This record gives sequence, structure tokens and C-alpha cells, in this order.
Amino acid sequence: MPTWFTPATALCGLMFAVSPFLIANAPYESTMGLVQKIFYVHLPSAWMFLIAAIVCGVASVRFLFRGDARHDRLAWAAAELVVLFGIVTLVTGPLWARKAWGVWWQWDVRLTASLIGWMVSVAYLLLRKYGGPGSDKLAAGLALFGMANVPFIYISVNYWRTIHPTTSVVPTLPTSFGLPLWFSTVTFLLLFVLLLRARVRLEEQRAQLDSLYLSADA
Amino acid sequence: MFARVVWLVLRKDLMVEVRSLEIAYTTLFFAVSCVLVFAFALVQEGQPPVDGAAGILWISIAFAGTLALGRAFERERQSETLRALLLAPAARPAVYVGKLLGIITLLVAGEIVLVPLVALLFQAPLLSRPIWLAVILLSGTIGFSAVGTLFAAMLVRARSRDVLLPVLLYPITVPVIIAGVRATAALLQPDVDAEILRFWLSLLVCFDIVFVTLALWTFESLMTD
Amino acid sequence: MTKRTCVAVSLIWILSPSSGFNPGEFGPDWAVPVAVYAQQPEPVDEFVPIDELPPQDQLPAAPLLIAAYAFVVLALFAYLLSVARRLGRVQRDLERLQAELKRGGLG
Repeated sequence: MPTWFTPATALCGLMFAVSPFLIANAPYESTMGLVQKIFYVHLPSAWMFLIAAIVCGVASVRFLFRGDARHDRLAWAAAELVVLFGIVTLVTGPLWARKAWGVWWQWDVRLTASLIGWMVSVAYLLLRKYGGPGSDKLAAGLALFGMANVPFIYISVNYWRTIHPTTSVVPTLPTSFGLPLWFSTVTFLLLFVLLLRARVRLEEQRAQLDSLYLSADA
Repeated sequence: MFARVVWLVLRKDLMVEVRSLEIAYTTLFFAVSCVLVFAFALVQEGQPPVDGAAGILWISIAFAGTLALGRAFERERQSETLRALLLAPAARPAVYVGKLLGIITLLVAGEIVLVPLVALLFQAPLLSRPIWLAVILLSGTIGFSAVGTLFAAMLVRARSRDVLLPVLLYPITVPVIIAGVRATAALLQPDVDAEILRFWLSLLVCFDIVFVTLALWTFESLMTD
Repeated sequence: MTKRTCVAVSLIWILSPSSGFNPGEFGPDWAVPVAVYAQQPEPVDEFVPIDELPPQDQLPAAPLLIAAYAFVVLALFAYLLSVARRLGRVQRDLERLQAELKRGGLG
């Protein structure tokens, strides 16, 4: 593991410990009250969901056209993070929505597209696990199609009327809301990088193990 | 040269299919049973679910299409003809387009039987505006088949390919199916709202363009022998 | 690869507007989105600000908030645990294999 890993982990843990205080001190939102505080985990995890999907897609493209196994490892790690942050987003969202909108779920564009994007990443993991040899390339192809979904998810709220807030909300937040949000986002981003690095390390170790087995058999 | 390769591949597939009619009959029968299952499950006392026809039509097309895709490439795998195709001095995108057109032909043949059946069983005026319906079905079929042909081709050598094809295919093609269902549903209204129809139809065409382009771009790298 | 990328991206860019689908036109021209919106649910009219709901319809927010944060913590923790466990397993296999190779046990 690189030298920055342990101090970064410590920093991340510290930031996670501090964040509840920042979130608790943020003012209440006028119409939604206490439940709006879910925002401070829902939005960063949604962003990590999209970022992970983009990382997976880009790494898959590079793997498809260059064949370098490092990109494949990164793509697999990123896909797992898409599933993870996708679950977090798709659970915290409805929990918030139940109070704010009165319904757990609605089949509008953003929610449907996000669910589909999440399912594509689950399909990716299933393919890696059960597809047998050669599934790394196939999964890369799948990830490419899945990544095409990502910009669609992000901009969909601006062009279809949906119950979900549009992308213009975040840039116009007052500082009292913005500070805990950005702190939370940076924390999640740091966590994302750490998890990615750890997961890539797992793949590197597996590859080393495989090559060791192969050399032993030779 | 490209067009010639496409035509050769397409002609080969069609000739093999016409001789045995294996995929055509089995897929068609499956699609018909699918619609019948929906009819038995959903039609209560002669009353079909309101506005159910559009969704059921597209679901049946998606299921039958997955089956046809699996079978089409299974045949290639068994005869080891895929290796021959890939070894041939032909541009791989041309091979892809040839295969794509074959699959589309098969699906369109299935739709020709499915549409009257669904119209009958679910009492939907599907045939009242045939040209528009044909355009919607064709765009949706192209989008579905574009992704399906690519995935089926790349899964040919994979383990668990039969179950993995739907697992991979459906999440990617759900937007196409949603757009197809909405467009068909808009068409089934007594007075068609042209704006809504145009919207969903242009979304379908957009998906077609994106999916076919992506597939052409990656087919060469994805086709492992 | 760059050439192919450029061709692919430019193809998508050029051909997509010709499909007639241009999200940009939903900006100034509201006729189409209004027509499309008619098909979609009308959330604005149904949305009632929380304060105006009668008290018995109001949900307590605290359980939802706690559930959300608890879920986040649990999910992240579970994933961390999963990665750590898998890493440990591979590490053990590696050490065992290296030890055996050193002893000349395999091959």
C-alpha cells in the first residue's frame, strides 16, 4: 500500500467523526425540517455513484483498446463502488422522499435511470464472477454502455419535470447549508479514493497469486 | 466492400434460417405463448387491463428477442462458424452489421405475428395507424437488437452465457423499451398527441444512433475467438 | 484508438440532433415539455408543504433520519469488512504459496 494510505485513512476517519457536528449545526430547511439532513449523505453518495460509474467506464475503454490489466483492475474496483454508493443513494433517497414527497418512490426519469445504472453495475459484477475466462473484456464492453447512461442521469432532472430537485439547487445553496455539504462531499471523496485503492490492491494481490501459481506449475 | 460483406453475412444467415426455420418457429411459438400467459393472467372476465397492450407487446418482443439472440449465436458456436467469420478478410463492423440485420429481420417477422395477436387479445387498436406503429417498432427493434447482437456475440465463449445474456441485456435496453412502450401507448390513444409521439420517437432514434455507434466502435475489440 | 474515438464521438454528436431529439429545445420552447408533462404525474399540485398537513398525517422525521444515517454507516462498514476479509484471504494464500515454493514443494 502506498505511504499516503494510512494517514489518509486516519484523516478520513477524523472527518467522518467531525461531520455529524457540522450537519447538526446546519440550519433546518424551511419546508422539510429535520429529514432534510439526509441530504448531507444522499447527495455526496449520489455523486460518488456517478463518479465511480465514469471511472469504471473510462478504465474499461482503456482496457478494451490497450489491453493493460491495470485498467481492468481499476474498472472492477470502480464497479463495486458503483454498487455500494448506488445502494446508499437508492436507500437514503426514498427514506428522505417518504417524508418530503409523501411517497417512497416515483418512476420519474432520474430515479428510473439511476436504478437502471445501478443494475448495470450489478450485472457487471455478476459477469465478472460467473462469466468464466474472457469475462474481463466482456464486462468492459458492458461498462461502456453503462457509462453512456451517466450523463443522462445527471441532466435528466433539468429537462423532464420530475419531483426530484434540479441540478441548479446545489450551486445556489447558502453557505450555512453549503459548508456541511462540501465537507461531507470531500469526506466521501476521500473515502471513495481509499476504498478504490484498497480494492485495486486486492486485485493486484490476486493477480500476483495467479502468476505465482502459474510459475509454480511451469 | 463493406456493403458487400454485410449482404453476404445477412444472406448466409437468412439462407440457413429459411432452410431449417428452427429459430423462427421456436421464437414465434415462445412469443405467442408469452402473450397468452399475459392474457390468462391479466384479462379478467373478458376485460383486459386498460392501456396494457403496449407494455405487453414490448415485453413479448424483448423476451422473444433474447431467445432468438441466444439461439442465433449458439448456432454459430456449435458450427464453429464464428471463428471462420472472424478470420475472413472482412471488416469486423461489417460482420456485426450483417448479423444485426439478420436479427432485426427475425424480430420483425415475429412482430408481424405478435401485433395482431396482442391487438386481438387485449382489444387494443394497434392496427389503426400501421405506418406509425411500424416506425416505432422498427426503431425500438433496431435499438434492442444493436445491443443484443453485440452482447450475444461477445458472450458466445463465456460460461453461463444463457443466463448472462438477459442479465446484461435488459438493464441496458430498458430505456429503449420504456420509450417504445410510451410511444406505442401514445399511438393507442383515440386522438394521438403528435408532440408526445414525436418526443418518444426521437428519443428512440437517439438511442438507436448511440447504441449502434458504440457497438460498431467496440465490436472489434470485444470479439474474442 | 484516438482516431476511432474522434469518429465515434463526432458521429454521435452529428447524428443525434438529426434524430429530432434535442434537449436544448426544451429551454425556451415549452410547448413540447408541457405536452410531455401532461403524460407524467403532477407532483407540484400534489405537494403540500409539511406545515400545512394535519398533524396526524405528518410522519415523524427522526426514525427516517436515523435509519438513513445508520444505513450509510452499516453499508460502508460492511464493504470495508468485505474488502479486508478478501484481502486477508489472498494474503494468506500468497504467503502459503511462497513458503511452499521456497521449500520446493510445487512444480
